[in-house]
Amino acid sequence: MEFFAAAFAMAYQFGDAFAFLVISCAGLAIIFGMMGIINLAHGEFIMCGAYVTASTARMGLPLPLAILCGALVAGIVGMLVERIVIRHLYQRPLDSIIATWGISLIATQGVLIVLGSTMQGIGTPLGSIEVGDRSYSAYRLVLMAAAVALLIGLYFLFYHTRFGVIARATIQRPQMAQALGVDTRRVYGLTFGLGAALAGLAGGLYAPTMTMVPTMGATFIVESFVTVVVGGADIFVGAAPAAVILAAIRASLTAWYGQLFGQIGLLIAVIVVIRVMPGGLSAWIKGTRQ
Amino acid sequence: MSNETLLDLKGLRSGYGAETVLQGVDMEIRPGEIVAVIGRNGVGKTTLMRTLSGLLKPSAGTIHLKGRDVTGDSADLRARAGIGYIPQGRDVFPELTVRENLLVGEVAGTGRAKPDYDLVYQFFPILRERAHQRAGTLSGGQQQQLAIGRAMMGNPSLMLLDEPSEGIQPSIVKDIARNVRTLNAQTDMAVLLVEQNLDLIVSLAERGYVMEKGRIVARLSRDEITSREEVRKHLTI
Repeated sequence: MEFFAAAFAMAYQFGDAFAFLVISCAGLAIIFGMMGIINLAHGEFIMCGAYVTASTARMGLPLPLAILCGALVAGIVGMLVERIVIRHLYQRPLDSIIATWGISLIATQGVLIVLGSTMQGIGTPLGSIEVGDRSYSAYRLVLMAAAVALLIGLYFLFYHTRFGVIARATIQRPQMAQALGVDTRRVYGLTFGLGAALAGLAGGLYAPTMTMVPTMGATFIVESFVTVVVGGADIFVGAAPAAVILAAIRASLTAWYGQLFGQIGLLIAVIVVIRVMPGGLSAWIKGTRQ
Repeated sequence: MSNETLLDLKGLRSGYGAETVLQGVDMEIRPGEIVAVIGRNGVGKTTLMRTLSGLLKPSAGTIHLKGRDVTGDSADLRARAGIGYIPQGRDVFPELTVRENLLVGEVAGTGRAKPDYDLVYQFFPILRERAHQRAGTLSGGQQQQLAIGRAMMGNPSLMLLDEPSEGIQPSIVKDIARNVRTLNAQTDMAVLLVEQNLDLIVSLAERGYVMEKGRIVARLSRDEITSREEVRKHLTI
């Protein structure tokens, strides 16, 4: 029983880190992998999702629906941002970094001015479960399941739907896709919207576990960028395995040496990876496959 | 129907940035015709194809397709209007399977034609065999067949075929020529062919345009093409 409890504690730590990495990076990974755009406003789309989720939940909407609302609103905002700003910067990746950074500043400061320095949050639902002599949050187990479901859902979307096939074609050969009748601007608009919606989903899912402040997106930024950098341009053979490896590193370091070393280990892992495989895991995996 | 012009170019000028490659091209193609554009490397044949597909914006002149002015239309609108583009180097989507490549080809025919996988597989049986293989792993000849099949999925009324024989073994070239001829006969699809391979030109083209320095300098009849002399003169360096 002792052993089981210890193993569960370890698995819980790992699952929690894995879920956080996957959920927080999915939107960033899709926008970077599919469009080559480094979205520095990723954290603010997360904040948007969290704020919408918290306010709609407090108005009485059931939490799952409130989370979907958060994702939807973030997605719509994302499509607007794409149309107004990003669309004009596709050939200028550096400018798009600056532009998204600007959007991020405007969003955090705007929310600070309009809604104040903090907003009333929502409590974590589902209570806790006891294993051995320790208790664990049941909601975090739901988040782990959500992370796995998210990966499966995205895989289905990109490999088994018409939109997914067309989107992948557009990434590989944008001009050829267009010459075959694909409205590539629409594909980019929808992809950016999807990435923003996924960020909003991340915010919604983690809203019940966090304090609502305008800068809350920053909590996710390090982990999501680390995962995308280690993973490279492909979410399935990149970000997903990267999340597994990073979660293992973080969970074991945190368990043995504490939170701080978990964070340090994560950053050292990134430095090692970009030194050894500059294209990230996905480039390395694809390279060995050929 | 056969007297109506399918594609009509007037004074078409186009190029890359400040450099004008096409210096005013006039050309017309009727439905169901196979027309070759002949000329040496660098005279602007591929620029012509890219401008017709819509990937390059013309700087002057007009393009009419089935009587409608499409000069300002983007590439996706032209594809939906019935232009099927098979670029030099084929440009299949390497990470997509053969079948997924064909699925993207469906897009051009949206609302205009029913996608017909069986027809494509009938012309190119190898594509059925390799349906679930990634296109990047196919040989050059198979990729060429896929690029043609992919364009067929949109049921085009004009196929732009840019150097289909490039880097492909002769037996496959013959195969492709036979298939294009059958397709043309069965579907009334016109073909604009850019080629350096004399045999392929002779076996397919009903007439031709000779291009030099971005201009059309001569028109060749079927007889002039089959006599080979005229064609050879414009191909040799």
